[in-house]
Amino acid sequence: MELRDALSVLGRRWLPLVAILAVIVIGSVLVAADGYRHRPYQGSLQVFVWARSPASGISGNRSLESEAGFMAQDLASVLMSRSAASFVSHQPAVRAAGPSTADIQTAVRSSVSGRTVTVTVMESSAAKTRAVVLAERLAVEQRARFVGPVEAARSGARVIGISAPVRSSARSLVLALLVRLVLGLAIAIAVALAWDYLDDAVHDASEFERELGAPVLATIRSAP
Amino acid sequence: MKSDAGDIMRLSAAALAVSYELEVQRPDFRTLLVSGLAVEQVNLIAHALAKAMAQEKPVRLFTGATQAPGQSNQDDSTSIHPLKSLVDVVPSGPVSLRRWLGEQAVDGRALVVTPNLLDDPISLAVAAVADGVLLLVQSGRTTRPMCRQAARVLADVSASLLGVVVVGR
Repeated sequence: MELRDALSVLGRRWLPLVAILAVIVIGSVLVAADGYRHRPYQGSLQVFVWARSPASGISGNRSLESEAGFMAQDLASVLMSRSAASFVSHQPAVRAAGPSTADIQTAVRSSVSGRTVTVTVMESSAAKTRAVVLAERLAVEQRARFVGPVEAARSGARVIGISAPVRSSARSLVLALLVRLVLGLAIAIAVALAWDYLDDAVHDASEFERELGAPVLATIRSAP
Repeated sequence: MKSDAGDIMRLSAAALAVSYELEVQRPDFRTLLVSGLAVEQVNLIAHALAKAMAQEKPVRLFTGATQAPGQSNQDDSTSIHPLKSLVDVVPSGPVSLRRWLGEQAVDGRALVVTPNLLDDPISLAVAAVADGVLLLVQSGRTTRPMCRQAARVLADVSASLLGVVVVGR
């Protein structure tokens, strides 16, 4: 189908196109507005990890530098684990900060860059976010609870930064809105084209010529 | 349907355009089948076309042809004379479609109108003996299967489809 044909179809099927687009635009804007009103708070914790000794028999001849990288990965996994989430959620300060919109495991994300683990917490209130971040710091300090004293003794982990809770940027919401609108437009166009494809009725003079194999001599816009 | 002067003028202009095109394509045609595919106003359009064609030669309009050409004995035509066509269509003399098709010497042209090419059995019988077929189709109503079936049945009877007139909504 050429672009001109497609535009002609869209002109003909403007009603479903506009209807679908309107529903998607209104829905997207409402979702974005709701998301903006309830956008979460975000706090983070940076942990520096170093290796005190290589893990004999497991890591072979790796240097302490690369060993630290692996230990940072391990720490990130530990902080994302169910047991760490349970530990955090049972901290009195966390419980006192009020209900969570999601369980702690969902609210916590971690990323590793070299020897540094960044734990990000997203919660519905600033107080809850701050309490969870502080409880995560406690979990780092007491990581022997989760990995055992021998493993904990092989590495050192120090909290090097805690960022105060701030509300998430609206940029991601705007981006999500734009993506929804573009997808909505694509869906509306697809529906209009599919509708036209499934409709057996012929609309264009050129299509009549093609189907009947004879020239269209005239088009009467509407017979009286 | 409510009509106004603009609609009638548009119809007349379209009829003149079709008449001109047919004259260029087949100046020697004598009998033309005008039939529709899901078009309601075939008679009205055929009437306008007959008036436009009557500018050149007398035109006989057969709109009541309900029997096969060989069986019709009744007068089922009206004639449109070049001079009178500007005023109105007048009743023709006692000329049946059979006689028209049989008498090559009669001057003028004939438009045989059938509302639906596919539903009316006489359509194909006339199409087979006419010099050409003009098909009226309705935009948004005539379907692709109808068009394909029409093209197939016309080819089966070796009818010559001279052109198509699209009626918009």
